[in-house]
Amino acid sequence: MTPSERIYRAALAAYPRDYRAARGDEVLGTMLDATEARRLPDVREVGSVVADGYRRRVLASVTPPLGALRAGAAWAAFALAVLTAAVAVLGVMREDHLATSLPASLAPSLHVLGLAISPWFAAFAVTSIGALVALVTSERRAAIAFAITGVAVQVWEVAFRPAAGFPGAHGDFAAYAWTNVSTLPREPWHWLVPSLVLAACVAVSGPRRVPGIGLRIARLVVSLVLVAGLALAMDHLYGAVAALGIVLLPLLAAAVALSPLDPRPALACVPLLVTALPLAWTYVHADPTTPAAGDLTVLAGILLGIVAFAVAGATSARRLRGGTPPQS
Amino acid sequence: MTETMREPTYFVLAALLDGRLHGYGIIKRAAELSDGRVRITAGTLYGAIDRLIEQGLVAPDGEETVSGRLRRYYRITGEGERVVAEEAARLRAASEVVARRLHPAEAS
Repeated sequence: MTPSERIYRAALAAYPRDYRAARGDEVLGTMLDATEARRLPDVREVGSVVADGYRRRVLASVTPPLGALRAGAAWAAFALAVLTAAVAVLGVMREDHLATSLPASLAPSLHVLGLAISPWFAAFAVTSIGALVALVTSERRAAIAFAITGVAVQVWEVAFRPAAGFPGAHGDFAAYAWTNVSTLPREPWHWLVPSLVLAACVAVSGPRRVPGIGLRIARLVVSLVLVAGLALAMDHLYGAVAALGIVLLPLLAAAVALSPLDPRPALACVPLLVTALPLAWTYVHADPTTPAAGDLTVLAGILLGIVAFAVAGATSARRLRGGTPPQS
Repeated sequence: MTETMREPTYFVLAALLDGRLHGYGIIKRAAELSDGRVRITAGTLYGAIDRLIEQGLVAPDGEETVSGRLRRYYRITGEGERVVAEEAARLRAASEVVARRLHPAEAS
């Protein structure tokens, strides 16, 4: 096998497996015929095959009608699941903070592995991480179930557990994760919004093929590292760790995205990365005596990132869909 | 065909007007017809061919293996001939719009 053929064969890996099995030999033959006079492989040929393979993978994962909307919703759901899971993990991690500042109804009362954990935070963590796990393993029904359970847990807590000792607060556990890092009003209801949107996004997101077990495990590990990194970043919002975490977020998201199953988020991560870089710059150079501006910036940045996920996922899917129907 | 035809697609159809061709044959013929200007790569070619097959403008027409390489042949359909003729007429009309203004005497 010549070096050119080896490289062309590697480029064919960009095609979905079904297409490669059906047409791979033909495409390879044409590439070799077209570049027979060259000593080195033709970069244009390699690029065109990779681009065509990428497009076909997008097609295979977009289901009409409303394919673009569902593609965007799928990745908005992923971003929201990461965010809510990170907030939940942050709440569990900060048992010292919870022990001293939470009202009695939300105070840690469970002791697991030496950690004092609030049952409400534990419930929040289980539902939000459950939704994330179900999403990355393509268990759509389970993801919806977890998301709806998360909403129910929040509604219950917000409605029935007023936070004594916190004027204006109604016992919303998620809001406490932000107590030290945000000067926003402790409005409990705003945290219902991400969970509700998460449930809605999962509900309308397009069906995806179930990947192999190795890929599912890899995506799960990367997603959980992503959650831990984001939680850590939020817990250290005034330091360089925050900047690092916020920059790592889109990079790790890109790692998840680059899975051969569904390449759309690779594009979706680009605006997220663009959003994160100025944020990181803001934090590195932030005046520690004026944290409010920084908090608002990071909140806006995270929300912007989620919107970017949804919009970029949707537009990339629609643009790349071209005139060919999905081949799933 | 409501959208404007892309140039590689136009030349793929034009190449097949002379008879059935395999993938590399189409690439070579398109380059000849355009005086070397249109260089279709394999990824572009098969993206275009699959779209054209789906639209019923091109059809597979047998295959053979030459020197260990699989070659699948394609032919243009009646509908494909009609569509490419329509596109050629559209391009001709568009070029005449400019020609009439640049060289009024020749065009009339």
